[in-house]
Amino acid sequence: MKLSIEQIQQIEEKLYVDYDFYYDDAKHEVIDHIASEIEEGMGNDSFETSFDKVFENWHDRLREVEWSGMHLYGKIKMPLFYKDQLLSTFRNDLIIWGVISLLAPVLIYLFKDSMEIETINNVVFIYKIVVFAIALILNQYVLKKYTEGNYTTVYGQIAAFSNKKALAAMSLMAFSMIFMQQNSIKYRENLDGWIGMLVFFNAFYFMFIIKYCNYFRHLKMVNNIKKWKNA
Amino acid sequence: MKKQQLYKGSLNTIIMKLLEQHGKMYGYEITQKVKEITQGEMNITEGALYPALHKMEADGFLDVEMDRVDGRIRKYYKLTESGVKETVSRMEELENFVRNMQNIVNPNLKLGY
Repeated sequence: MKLSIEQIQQIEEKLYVDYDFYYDDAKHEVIDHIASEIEEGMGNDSFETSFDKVFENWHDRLREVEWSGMHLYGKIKMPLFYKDQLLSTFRNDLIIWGVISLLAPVLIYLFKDSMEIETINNVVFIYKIVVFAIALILNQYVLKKYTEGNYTTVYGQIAAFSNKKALAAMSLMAFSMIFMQQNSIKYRENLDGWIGMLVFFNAFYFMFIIKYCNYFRHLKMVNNIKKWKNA
Repeated sequence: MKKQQLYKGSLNTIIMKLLEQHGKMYGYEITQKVKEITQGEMNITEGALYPALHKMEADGFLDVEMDRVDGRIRKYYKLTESGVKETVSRMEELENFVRNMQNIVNPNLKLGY
């Protein structure tokens, strides 16, 4: 037995009102799946009974769970439906984060003997400013673009989550980690500990940069959604 | 539960094989088809199905088509060219796995492939 337009709207409304499920990348699929299950159930039950039974089964997967992922401030709420997908991308992000955080420190460590202390100081100072600037620009760009956009996706939500607080933390950290650290290395024998500080700096800023890069995953999804709509 | 875990590792291959056989399919249809073929033994949950489909779509193995069906939008999946090649290679791997398992579990029984 097929559902009427009103009954499909009822499913849609339940998803929005009870579960905040506005995600454009998955909502059509979820609505269609739930509608198909309700139609199957209507072989034996009324629409209302089948509707309740199906949502009872889906409740656990649609209910919001806290997702901490790769960001410092609080936990973002996500439907459990996305858990596997997020875990898989989080694993990739974690590997990239580890590699990218170690890259510059390892290079400096390898070439430390062939570089003057002054050169190391200058190179690292410029490097830190560049990393800070990228994090800052991405923070503002993502927040602005995502709030202006018409689409909601799980990656967009992550990228734009808590960006104002993050801006404050990044700016505060910049004073102690960049400007107060300018020309801070005086003696070659202190270099190893100083490189350790650079790893910490990288870990801190790249954590945000990688989080903002979720916006590009969001854009990819939006392009797909537009492609589906035009097809 | 243990059976479900055994099937879990082959989920992508199962989906790809079904798409190879049926052309294009939507999520609910895949779950029902698997249930029907395995006579209810294998139950693909939405929590496992959709992340697998989205991942294969992102990897370029699946293409998507949207249609309006029965008053709602339905998302169909079909194999891309690289998806077809990947299915062949994954099926070979799966067949080898099944053959090896068979040899371990029941060495006297020969399977014909």
